[in-house]
Amino acid sequence: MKFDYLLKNEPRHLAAFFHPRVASVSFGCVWILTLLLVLFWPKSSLLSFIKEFRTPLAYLGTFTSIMLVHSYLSIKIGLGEMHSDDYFTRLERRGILLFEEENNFIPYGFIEFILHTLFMISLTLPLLIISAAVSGITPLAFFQSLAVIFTAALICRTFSFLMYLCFGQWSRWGRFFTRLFFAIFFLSTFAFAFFINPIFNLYLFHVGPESFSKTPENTYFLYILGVTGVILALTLINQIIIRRRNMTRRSA
Amino acid sequence: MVLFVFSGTAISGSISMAYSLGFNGVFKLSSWTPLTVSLENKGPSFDGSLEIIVTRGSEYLRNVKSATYAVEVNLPPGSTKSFPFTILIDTFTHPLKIRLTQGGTTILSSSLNLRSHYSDQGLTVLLGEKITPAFLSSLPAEFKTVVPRAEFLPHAWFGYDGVEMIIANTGIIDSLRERQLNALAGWVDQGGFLILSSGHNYGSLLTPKIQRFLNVDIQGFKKVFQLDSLASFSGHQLKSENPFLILQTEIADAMPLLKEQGIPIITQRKIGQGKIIFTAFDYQDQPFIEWEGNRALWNRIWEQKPQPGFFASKHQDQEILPLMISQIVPSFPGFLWTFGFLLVYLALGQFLFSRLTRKNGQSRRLLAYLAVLVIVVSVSCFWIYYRDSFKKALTYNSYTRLKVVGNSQKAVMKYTIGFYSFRDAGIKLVFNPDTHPFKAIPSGRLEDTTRPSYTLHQTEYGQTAVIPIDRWSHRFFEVDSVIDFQLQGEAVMEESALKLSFKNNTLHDIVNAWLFYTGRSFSIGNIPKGKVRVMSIGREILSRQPSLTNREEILQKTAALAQTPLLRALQNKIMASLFFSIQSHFEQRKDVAYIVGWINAEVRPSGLSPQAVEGESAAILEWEIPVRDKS
Repeated sequence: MKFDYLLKNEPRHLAAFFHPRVASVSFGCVWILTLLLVLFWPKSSLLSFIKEFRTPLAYLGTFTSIMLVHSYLSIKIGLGEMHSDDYFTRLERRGILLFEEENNFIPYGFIEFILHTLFMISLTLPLLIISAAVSGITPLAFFQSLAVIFTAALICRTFSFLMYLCFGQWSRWGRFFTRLFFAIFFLSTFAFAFFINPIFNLYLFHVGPESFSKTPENTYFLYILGVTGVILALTLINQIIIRRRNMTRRSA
Repeated sequence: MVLFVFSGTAISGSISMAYSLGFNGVFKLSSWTPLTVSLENKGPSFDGSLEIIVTRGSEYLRNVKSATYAVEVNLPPGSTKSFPFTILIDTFTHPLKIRLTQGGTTILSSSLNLRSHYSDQGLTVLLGEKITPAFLSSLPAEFKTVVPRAEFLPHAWFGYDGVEMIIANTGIIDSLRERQLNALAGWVDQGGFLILSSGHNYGSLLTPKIQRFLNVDIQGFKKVFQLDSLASFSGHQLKSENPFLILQTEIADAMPLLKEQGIPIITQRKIGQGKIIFTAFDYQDQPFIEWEGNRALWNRIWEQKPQPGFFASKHQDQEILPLMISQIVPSFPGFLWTFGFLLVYLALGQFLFSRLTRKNGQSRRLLAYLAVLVIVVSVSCFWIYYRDSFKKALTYNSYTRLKVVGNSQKAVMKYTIGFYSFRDAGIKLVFNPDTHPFKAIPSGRLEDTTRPSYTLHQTEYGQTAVIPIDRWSHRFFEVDSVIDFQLQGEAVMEESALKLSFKNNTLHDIVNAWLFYTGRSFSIGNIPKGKVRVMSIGREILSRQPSLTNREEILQKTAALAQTPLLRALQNKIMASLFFSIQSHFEQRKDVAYIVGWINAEVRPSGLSPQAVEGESAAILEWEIPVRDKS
C-alpha cells in the first residue's frame, strides 16, 4: 500500500500519478508550456540582443509559466480537486478516508508530494533546459531556478493540503484561502518581502543581480531559507492534525 | 619620508602613503597622466594591492564607469617604495581614489579632488634647476607651463600624452631612471618635441643616456658678445656687453637650424615622428634671460614642432563599431529543428502517458520507457544546447589601423577589440612585455550604478587587463601600440615614369591596395606576404586630369574585390571618406606616395592573446612613402 500512488490509481488516493484526470492535466500542461516556449522564443537575431543589451525572454517566460502552472496544479491536487465534483462523485466519495489522512504525513504524504512535484517538473525538463540555454543562463543558475520552481510548487501543495484537512474537499473556504495564498505568494510578496517572491528570484537570474542596486545580497539564499521554513512549518502542522485525528479515530 | 607637497598623503597604522599626480600636480584632461604613489612601512612585512580608481561619466547621463589600475605591493619592514602609474582621467567631477588593500580589506585609502589639478591646455614641461620667472614668461602663452620633479616623470611613453613640449637641461635627463628614459625616448619617437640644452656643464652630453638622443661631439666653447643669426630667426638681435659662451658641437644625423660664424647654435634632429632641438647656449643664463627677443625665440622654436602624422582612418570609431558587432559568430539554435525535436518528445510522451493511464499505472515496463525518454531527451538537450552555447558564449573580433612611414619597419597601431558575450564572463588580456595605453570605448549603455569597467594590473613583465562582461552585452577597448612591421618601399620619379616597388616581409597578405599620388589613384592589387610588387606609372598618365568618375570606380572595384563580409562592409563604409581625406591632404604634394591596403586577418599588439572564440577581424594599412625625384 505504501507508495502505491506511484503505480496504482485508487479512490483513496488524493491524486495518484496516473489518475486519468491527473495524467491528462499533467501532460496537457506540457503541451501548453511548449506553445508558450514558441511564444517566448527570440524573434530577433542573437547579435541584435547583444548590440542592444537585451536579454531574450525565453528563460524568464518559460520558467515563470512552468512555475505558475505547476504551483496552481499543486494547489488543485492538494485540495483534492482532481476528483470530479459532480453530485454522484461527491456521493461516492463521502466518508472516504484518504491514505494521506490515514498515514502519518511526514513519512507518507510529504514524500508523495515531493515525488509528485519532481515528477511533474521532470516532464518539462527539456523545455526548461532549452529556454535556459538560449537565454545564456549558467548551469548553476539553472539548477537554482529549478529549486525555486520546486519549492514554490511544494509550498502550494502543502498549504492546500492543510486547507483540505481544515475545510474538507470541495469547500468554498478551502478554495478561497488557497487562491488567496497563491495571489499573496506570487504577487503581493513583491511589495513587502520581495526576496521571498519566486518570480522576483527568477527575474534576478534573468537580469543578473548587478542590475539591482537595492536588493540585499544572497536574495536566493533568503528565499530558499524562508520558503523551506514555511514548508517545514506546514508539514509539521499537517503531521500534528493527521496524528491527532488518527488518535481520536483509534480511541473512538 | 619625503612628503609630496602637490597632491596628498594618508596614514593608517604602520603604513603611510603619499602621492603625486601629473606634472607638478597638474594634468591635462582626457589625456594619460603619470601618478606616483609612495608607501612607507614602519611595521611588519606587508603584502597587498595598491589600486587607483578613476571614474568617468555622468550620473545624469547614467553612464558612470570606473577603471582600476592595480599593482601588487610587497613592503618589507622599514621600507619605502614608489609605484608609478599612468592613468587616463577624462573628467574632474569624480574624485580620484587611491587605496591599499590586503585580502580584500581596505587598509588605507585617500580621495583626491581633481578640480584644482586639471588643465584644458597642453602642457609645457620644464626640467631643470633655477628656473626663473623671466624665463617662464617668455614661453608660448597657449600652454600651461609646469616644473615637475624628475623622479615623478612618467614611466610609460603615453604618460606624456598631455605634453606638447619638454624643455630640459641634459643634466636632468641624465638623472632619469632607465624606464623613465625609455618612456621619454618612446614619446619623442611617437611625435614628441624635446628641447635640450647642456648649459655650461657639458659633461652630461657625453653620457650614454644623452648620447641615445644626440650623438654629440664636443669641440669646445666659443666666447661671443652677440648672435646676429638670431635676428633672422626670431626677428631680434642679441647683443651683450659681457661675453657669453656658446658650445661648439657636431651632432650626427642632425640638421643645423641656425649657425653663428659657422657654429650650429640651434640644431634639429628627427627621431621617428618626433624631434629634438639642441641649443648651444644656456637659455637660462645671461644675456638670454633679460633679452627682449626671448619670447619671439621660443615662439619660433615652437613653430619647429613636429607635425602630427596623417592617419586617415584614425577617427572612425562610431562607424566601425556597429560593423564589428554585425560580424559576430554565434546565433540562436534553429527554431524548426528545436521544436521538431520537442514535438517528437511530446508525441512519445503522450503515447506512453495514455498507455500508462489505461493500465492504471501498473506497467513497470512503460514506466521505465517514460523515465528513459525523459532522461535521454533532457540529457540530449543539455548536451546539445548548453555545450554548444558554452563554447561560443564569448567571442571577439578586432579592427586594426596601421600606419607605416617609409621603411621604418615599424607600424603605429590603433587596435580596437570587441568582446561579445551572452553569459556573464571574465576576460583576461595579457600584454607582454610592454605597457600600452588601454582604454574602454563607451558603449552607450545606460546604468544606474557605477560599474567597474576593467582593472589593469601592472607587473614587471607588462600589464594584464581583467575585464568583466555581463551577459548579452558587448564591450569595446582600444589599445595604441607600435609593432614591428617589415615593409620596404621605394618611390622614384624618373624622367619618363614614377617607379614604385613594394616588398612585404610581414606575416600578412596585403589585399586590394591602392596608390594615391597627386590627386590620382591607381590600383596596386594584392601584395602577398614575402613578395615584391613593382609598378611603373608613366608621366603622361600622371599629367592627365584626374577623372571625377574615378572615385566611384575605385569604390565599386574595392568592394567587389573584398574577400569577406567584414572587409566588404568596412570598405563600403569608410573607403569614400578615406579616399576624400587622402586626396585632399596629399593632392598638391609630389613628394609623398600614399598607399592604402587591407589585411584580412587579425593584427594585434605583440604578446596579446585573447581567450575567446575569434570572429572575423580585419586591418587597414596606410603607408606613406617619400618620393625621390631623380628627373
